[in-house]
Amino acid sequence: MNTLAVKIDAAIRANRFSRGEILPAQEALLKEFGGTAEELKCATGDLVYEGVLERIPTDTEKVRVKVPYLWDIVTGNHSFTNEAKKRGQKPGNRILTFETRRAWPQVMKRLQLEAGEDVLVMERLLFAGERTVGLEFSYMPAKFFQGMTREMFEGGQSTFKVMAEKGLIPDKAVDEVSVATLEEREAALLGLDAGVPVLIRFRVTLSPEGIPIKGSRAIYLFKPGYELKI
Amino acid sequence: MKNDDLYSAYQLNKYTPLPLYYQIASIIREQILSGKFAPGDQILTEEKLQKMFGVSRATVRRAISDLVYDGLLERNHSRGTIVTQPKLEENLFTVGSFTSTMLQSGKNLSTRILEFNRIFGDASLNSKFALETGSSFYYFRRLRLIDGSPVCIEDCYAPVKYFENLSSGMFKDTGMEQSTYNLLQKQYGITIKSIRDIMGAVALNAEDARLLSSHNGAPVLLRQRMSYDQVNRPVLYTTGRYIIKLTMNLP
Repeated sequence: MNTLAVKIDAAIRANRFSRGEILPAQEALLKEFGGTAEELKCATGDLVYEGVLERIPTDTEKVRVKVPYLWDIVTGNHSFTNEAKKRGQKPGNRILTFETRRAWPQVMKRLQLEAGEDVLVMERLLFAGERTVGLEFSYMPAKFFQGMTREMFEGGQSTFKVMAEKGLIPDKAVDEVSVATLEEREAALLGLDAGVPVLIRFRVTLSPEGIPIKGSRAIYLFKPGYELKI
Repeated sequence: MKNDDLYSAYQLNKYTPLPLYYQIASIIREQILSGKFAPGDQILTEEKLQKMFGVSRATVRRAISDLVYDGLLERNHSRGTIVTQPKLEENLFTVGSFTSTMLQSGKNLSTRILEFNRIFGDASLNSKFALETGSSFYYFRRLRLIDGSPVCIEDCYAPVKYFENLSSGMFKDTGMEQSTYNLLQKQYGITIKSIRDIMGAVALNAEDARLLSSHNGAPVLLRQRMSYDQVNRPVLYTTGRYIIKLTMNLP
């Protein structure tokens, strides 16, 4: 970060600008912190990439102080239930969708299903205490989950605990991460602005035999951390 | 075939348990996967889809959202909703460098060094490397290209005390010698043994958008990586903006 970025960052930490506040125009910022227009451009860019500021979706020349997520970085297997418990927060969820559907091509590929096979689809808003931490859309091969009901998953219940009761034990996972801008419906559910860039994590969970037992597409309000060794 | 004609054969079934938005998403998905839409093609506007299928705007939006999140469509400020260009994929199954991963998968990777300087670390950078105040770092910015098309911008920081006389001339623009990991190993005997990545999503600024041939505000993957050597020292910090997908096999 350049000197100007360090000064602006320090000002934010000292509450000179509050969370969610749009930063003043270039002229006002240069008057307060010094530097050149070029340095300010680099500074705001750096602070966006460091997660201190974010661009306004409807006017990307403007930036505002980013409202931090409840959880900043989560490492390990990113299990929302385990993470909430680890932090002494009560995991909760609100099930938005729970139904059986014919598997579509991407899901067939991820879960290694044949054409015509069904999946149990569940969309949940995830909470830790009262705060929203994510929106998860899961799909599970219906053939492994006969007799599953919505009630079994309600109330913050870990899906893996429910699966274990069916003899399905998660062993490994394959994650794919990409990005998108938040759509209106999801923005409203998550309490964010539409158009904000978000990380989408696709995960396929495998049994010890390497059989896919669950797939999910999730927007989590934290940054997933990965630690890998040779 | 005209865009409008593509949907004329389809009718929604309002009597099945399948939600209408799901049916619409399935129809558009099939059109994309069967090649009736090519990457970059515009699909019908929400208003037109709404009229065509006789559903509410919210239903159409939900269908589009599903396809956006599945990576089949993307919102483009100037062109509306378009079919996504397929993204390159980097597999982090082993701790390979981006260079070795791309070259091993047969990609024609090249690198352009945009900037190379020596800087003093601020508190944040010194802390990342567990170095004292006043430490110096090499800073270099690189543009990575596949078949001549830009795919990422990397800002890299390496402590001067570990890499004396590092210079931009040591980096080549093609082959394995464009790899920073390769350079550190050959020139300094430092082997990267582990990494810690933090993933996020950011909107590109105008300059980075220009370099990546994208648009101002486009969402990209942000990967902040600290690389550790054989004695577990943090030796290289990279902040990258990527127009690719990343996959990881987790134990």
